[in-house]
Order: sequence, then structure tokens, then C-alpha cells
Amino acid sequence: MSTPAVAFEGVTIRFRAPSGEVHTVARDISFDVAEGTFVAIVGPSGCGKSTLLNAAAGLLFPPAGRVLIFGEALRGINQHATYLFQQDALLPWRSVVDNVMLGPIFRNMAADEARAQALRWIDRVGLKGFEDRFPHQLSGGMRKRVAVAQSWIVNPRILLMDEPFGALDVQTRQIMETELLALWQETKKTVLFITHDLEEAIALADKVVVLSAGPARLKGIYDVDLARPRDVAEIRLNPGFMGLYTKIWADLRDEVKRQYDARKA
Amino acid sequence: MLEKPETASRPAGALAPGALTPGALTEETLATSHTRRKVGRGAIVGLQILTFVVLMGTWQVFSAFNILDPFFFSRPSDIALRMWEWIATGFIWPHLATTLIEAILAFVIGTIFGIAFGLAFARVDLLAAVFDPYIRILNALPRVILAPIFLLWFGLGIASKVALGVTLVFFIVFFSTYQGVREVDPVVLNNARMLQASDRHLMRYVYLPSVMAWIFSSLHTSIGFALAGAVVGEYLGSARGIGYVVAQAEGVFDTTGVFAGLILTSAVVLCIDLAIERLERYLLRWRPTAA
Repeated sequence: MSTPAVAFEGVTIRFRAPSGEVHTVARDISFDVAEGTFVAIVGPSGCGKSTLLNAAAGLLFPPAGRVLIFGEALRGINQHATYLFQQDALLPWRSVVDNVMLGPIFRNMAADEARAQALRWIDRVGLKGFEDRFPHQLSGGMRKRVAVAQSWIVNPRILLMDEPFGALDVQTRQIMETELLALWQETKKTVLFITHDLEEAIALADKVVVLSAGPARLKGIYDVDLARPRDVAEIRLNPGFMGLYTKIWADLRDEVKRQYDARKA
Repeated sequence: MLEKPETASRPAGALAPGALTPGALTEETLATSHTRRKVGRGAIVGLQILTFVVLMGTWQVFSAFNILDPFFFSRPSDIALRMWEWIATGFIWPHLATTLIEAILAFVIGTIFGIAFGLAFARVDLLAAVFDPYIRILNALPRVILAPIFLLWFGLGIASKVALGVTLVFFIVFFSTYQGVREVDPVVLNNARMLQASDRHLMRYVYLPSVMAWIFSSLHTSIGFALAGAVVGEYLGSARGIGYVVAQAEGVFDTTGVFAGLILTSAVVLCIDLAIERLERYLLRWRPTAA
């Protein structure tokens, strides 16, 4: 087997709260993500999923364990990855095209070449005609499309996504999921997708990684052997989907309840 | 509250000039039209003119009947006449030019230093920690007190006025810059870093635009202070400028001259304010509330 795109090796992440207390958000997590696969990470809200993704992005450095990217221990920002955030991450003072062309510009591409490339990507995510708008003039779904173009234009080998469609309404979300899958199908990049929605995880991914209630530990990894290309709206009615859902939910349910009880207490 | 919605994002302490203009009032009535009675723009302008006429008329009549002593309060007609004389004879232009040059220099120099120090303090925690009490002490100092020292150091020419204006402008820009760097959304910052922005890129594409937004928002205050520094400096000791004209008039108990100088100054500030508002609307057009 070839080197995994992302490998977590005994990753533990602790934070020191302002009060001086040390919080462990993730404990001893190990798993591999093979190149070209779509892996979803699910777990109860607030269990430390995002923290794990930030470790893979190189935005934070785990005090114990390590993250390997294509076999190399990650130090600093992950050069092979881009990140799709749950919140708005576009620069509010730059227009759509100026935002999309940032990646190429940061890689020292000439401005007019970067702009031409950005215009192609804007067309590809269906925003032709909105090039000169500012982010605040767009709907939430459109801003997500801009973010998709922004992260995809630099042709990264790994895409990290932290509940990217969490803030969208259900219809927009399904449209975005379908388009994401279509885009992924063409390019076969490695995707690490965080969500708390198990249905979304199964509908999109090749593998579902279940994390326990905080501090997050690895609870189980499930293969999703549903045929591709998939239609995210229809696949939810597929018997295979429902079987998987029941199986994984049995695992996840206890953790969600534990997390909920811990919060309540 | 007559504040426009966009003024909510102004740094604390910054005034909201134009808050009393008809434009602002109309916007406000539109925004809350369910709970407030709409007042037409024409009616408001009419009322404003009426207010002016009543105030000036009362003043004129009171001074004519000596209820207000014209020696101390002058007359609106005399003041208008004096201003017309100043403009017609060209007497006022060199003074006005001097004051504006001082204000512009103070603004430019204060802004450059404010941005430089603001960036340094925001990026280097040690600097901010060590100098925090000193910055507070300096900022707490009423700057007008420095005027005599600046007169001694820099003489009666424009340098002492510029220096006074700089001390006023510097702190506004400094705090805006500091805030602008600190208030950058961490998600936006992380996104840029994930797109492989170098430190230089982050400064140019993320920090500076954010800082500029804060500085533009405090432009009204900083330019107003630059002018205040110039006029106060001139008043305390100079041979040219609007402050000098006012001081001269005061020296010979010429109340009309003092009032004419005051009104001229506020007219200049008003014109500058209107220009800034245009500029601000254009430069901050990416902001949701400015649209």
C-alpha cells in the first residue's frame, strides 16, 4: 500500500484554559487517510473534531504524537492542503475574483494570469456575473461557492473541510454537497470532512471515522461501500445507506448522550 | 439616538459627525419606520432653515435693542459683513492656507507615526506590555498643555503647530491601527495562511486593509484634531493663521472678528467633513452596513 496522504499517530491535544486548567481535547488518536479517498469524521458537537483538523492543517502543533503528510512529519502550515471553514473566511474587503485569486498570488503567480484562472473557477462554481461583488453582497451559499473556488484553484492534494455547509439551509446544503461530490469525482483529491451530521458523512464519504465524546478518542472506522457517483438526496433512501446508518448510529448515540450529559452537568 | 448604523463600527471615542444632518435622520426614520412617524426630507430642511432664521433674528433684534450688548455679542449682520470683507479683500486666504498646511502636515506625520507604532505594538507583545502604562499616561495628558513647550522648542512658525497637531492625531491613528490588527478575524487569518500567505502577504492583504478600515473610520476625528491643533497653536502664539486672526481680534476687543473667525473655522471643518464622508463611503463600500 502506498503512503497515506494523512496519518495521525497517537495524536493528543491539550489546551491551557485562561484559568490555568489543562483541557485534553483529543487523546491518542491514530488513523490513516489513503490518498484520493473521502473521509468523514463524525462525533458529538464539541468533541474536538475541529482541533484534530487544525492539527492536520498545521494550524496547531500537537504536544504528543504526530501528523504525517505523505509520510513526512508536519511542521508549520500544511503545504499540500487547503481548508474550507465553517465560518466565513473570505477577505471582506476583496471582491469575489480578488478573493479567488489569492492562492495563486500567494504562490507568486503574475496577477493577470491569476485573475484569468480565478475567472475560470468562478465560472465553474456557477458564479459567473458575480466576479466584482463583495462577500457581504452574496448569500451564504454563494459565499461557500467562492470559498470552494478559493481552496480548489491552487490544486491542493488534500482538502480539509470543517462542517463547511453547517450554516446553510437544508436545500442549499444538498445542492452544495452534490456539487462538491461532482468536483471531487473529477479530481479525486484526498478529503478530510468534519461533520456532526451522520447522514451527511455517509452520503459523502468512503470512510466514516467516529470519535468519542470529549476528550475525543477513536471509537470506530466504517467503510462506506455505496456505489458512486451518488446523489446525496436519493442515497438516503438506499437500503445500504440505512443499514450503515443504523450500525454507526449505535456507536455514535452513546457518545452524543455522554457529551450531552457532561454539558448539562 | 440619531446615529447612522455605520457609525456603530466607529472606534470608541470617535465622534459621529454628520449625525445631525438631514441625510442621517432620513436613514434613521426609514430603518425604524414601523415605530416612528416618517418626516419628509423637505420638511426637515425647512425646519432647519427656520431654526437658523429664528436664532439669527433673535440675536439681531436683541442686540439692536441692547438686550445683548453688541460690544460682547456683536451682531449677525456685522459678522456676515466682516466675513464678506475678509473674502472680498483676500485678507483671509493666506491665514486659511497656513492653517490648512499645518493641519495637513500634522495629519500626515501623525498618521505615519501612528500606523508605524500601532503595527509594531500590535505585532510585538513585549512592546505593548512594556509601554502600555506610558502610552496611557501620554494619552491622558491634555495635549494643549504641550503647546507652550512646543512654542519654546519649535518657535512661532508652523513647526510648533504641526507638533501639537501630531500629538493629537498620533494617538487616534495609533489606537485605530492597534485595534485594526487585533480585530482581524482569526478564521480569515487562518484561511490566508492555509493559502500559503507569507508574513509579507499577510501584512499587505490582511492586516493593512483591516487597519485602513479602522483609520478611515476615525478620519473625521483625526482630521478635526489636526485642525484643532493648528488653530489652538496659532492662538497661543503665531504670526499667521486663523487662530492668529482670532487672537488679534480678541486683543482689540473686536468681538465681530472673533465670531467671524469661529464661524469660518467651523465652515472649513464642515467642508472637509463632507469630503471625507464621500471618500469614506467609497473606500469602505465593501462593508455590509455602508451599502
